[in-house]
Amino acid sequence: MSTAHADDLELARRVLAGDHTAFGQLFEDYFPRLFRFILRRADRNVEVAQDVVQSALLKGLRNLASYRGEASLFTWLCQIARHEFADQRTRQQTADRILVALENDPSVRAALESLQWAELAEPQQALEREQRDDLVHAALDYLPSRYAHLLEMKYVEELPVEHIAQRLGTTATAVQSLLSRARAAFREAHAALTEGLDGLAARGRGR
Amino acid sequence: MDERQIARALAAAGTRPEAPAQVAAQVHAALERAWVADLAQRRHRQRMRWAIAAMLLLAAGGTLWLQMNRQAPRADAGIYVASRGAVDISGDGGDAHAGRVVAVGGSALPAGTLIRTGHDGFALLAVGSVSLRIGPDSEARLERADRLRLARGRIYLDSGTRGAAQDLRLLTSLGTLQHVGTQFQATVEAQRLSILVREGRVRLTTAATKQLIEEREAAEVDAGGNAHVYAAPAYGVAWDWISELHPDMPIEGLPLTEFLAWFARETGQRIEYDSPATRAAAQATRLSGSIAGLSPQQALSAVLASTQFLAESAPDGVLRLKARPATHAKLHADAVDELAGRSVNQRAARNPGFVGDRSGARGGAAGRFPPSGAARIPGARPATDLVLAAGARRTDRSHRTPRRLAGTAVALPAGTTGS
Repeated sequence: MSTAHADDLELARRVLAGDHTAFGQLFEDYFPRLFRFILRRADRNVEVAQDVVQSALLKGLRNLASYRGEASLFTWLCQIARHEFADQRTRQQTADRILVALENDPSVRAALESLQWAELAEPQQALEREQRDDLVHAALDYLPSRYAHLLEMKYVEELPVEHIAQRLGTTATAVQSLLSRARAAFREAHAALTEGLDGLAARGRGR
Repeated sequence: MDERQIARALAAAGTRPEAPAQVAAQVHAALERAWVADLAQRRHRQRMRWAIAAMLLLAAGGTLWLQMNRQAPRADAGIYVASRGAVDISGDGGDAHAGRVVAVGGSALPAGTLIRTGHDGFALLAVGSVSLRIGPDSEARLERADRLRLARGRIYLDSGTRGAAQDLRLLTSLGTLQHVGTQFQATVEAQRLSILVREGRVRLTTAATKQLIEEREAAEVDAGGNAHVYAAPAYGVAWDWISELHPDMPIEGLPLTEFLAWFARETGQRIEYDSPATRAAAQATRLSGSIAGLSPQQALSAVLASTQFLAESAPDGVLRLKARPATHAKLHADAVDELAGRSVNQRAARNPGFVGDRSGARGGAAGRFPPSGAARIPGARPATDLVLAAGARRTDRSHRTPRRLAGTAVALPAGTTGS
């Protein structure tokens, strides 16, 4: 067992034991991150993200006893969510095929074509910005929660260190030290994601 | 990516999007419901598992308890053979085996059987291959097939053979005795344990000592468990009581030598023959009849009365056997016949093959027996004739009133068959 995930294991143990506080903590820690994780993949479809994350968390809870702490709990839950999302997409594709078949029906097609559709294409610039922001958010989500919150307080909310220290009930020095570690972690996560994206793009171009 | 770039990226990206509060609440509620239901189900399953485990444990425990407390039929610890005088045999007072044990010859005795004898009581038991005799005023409990507890009185044990240590232990308040292929007797009186060893060895274990008592030795054990060992004869008055009741000794067809060996074992005496010829003649002499009910001494008298042999007591418990002088034998035979009320002529008339020479008919003195296989002598007296002959041993000759004994004995030359 990796001691790096001892906290995650302890949380899992408490949830399995029926600890309501632990359950609350697990939900607060992982639901938002998983939601964003799926939301990005589901073209920001909140309904899909909700369905997938709910299913994934349910599966995670029911299989929590099998969590061994080999990876972080977030990674473990992401894996489940990814599978859930894939299943959901398979189901959706089946539904899409039905929809396509329906759309191919001449009478239905005629009715649809008569409608005035809005411009759906997003400007390239906006798309790139969105991808960049997603990358930052994804990197934050992969960080320990306290690092991500700290970075958001400092750089998004632009709170002074003293204020953050007050909110966290610690000293400014301690916040500075924590911020330093959080930045390093963010840098690493962001780099990993950027490299991953570049690799994917290169593979896409090579096809 | 330096701090400034990080700050810019984070600021540009803004706050991470949150799930709408309603969505979060719905998911939370759904998850909590499922989680609580799962928990309840899991706990129920767990409780069921515990309940089943507890039931199984209870059932196993119950079965074990029942098995441990079942009145299992006890293994027989020994066999009642015979008794004489006042003897009370009862079961273990603590369970279903309590009460009187029906004791007829051959009855099995359950573990825990208590045997009490009165002033004139003797009991004879068989425990495995060991023969046990319980003397008067005794109380012994056959606790198991390998354990007899003597509370008071005396007991005689004959394992039949010399050899390795046997399982049967004799327990007394002063010590434990384990025989090593032996004949011995033990007496418990008040705070004293006496042991007399006729043959083999006895292992004595007390609180104070642990030692072997050899044959022809005696030991006195005091209340402290200290043993005083000294030489003691294997025969004599101290052993007389065991002659009162002994296992049946069938003599039908038995060589005289074997009967004499039995006699020696029963009395502790040693048999000597005055010559090799006497021994050979005794070996060739086959017995017919029964000595049931006779003491060894009575049996010896009865048996020898029908043979050409005499037994003489010698020092050191030796019994010397010698051939009866021919004249003496003839006179003796005539006397017997006279007691039977027959004349030589009568016997000859009844049986043409009868030659009238009793000594010849009986084979005569040692060395004059017909060879084996040619010893079938017509007119050899049947056992019934010898009832009186045997009885004559207990007859007051002066009054010539023969008294029939419980046993009869006859000696026939080799090759003949008994009636």
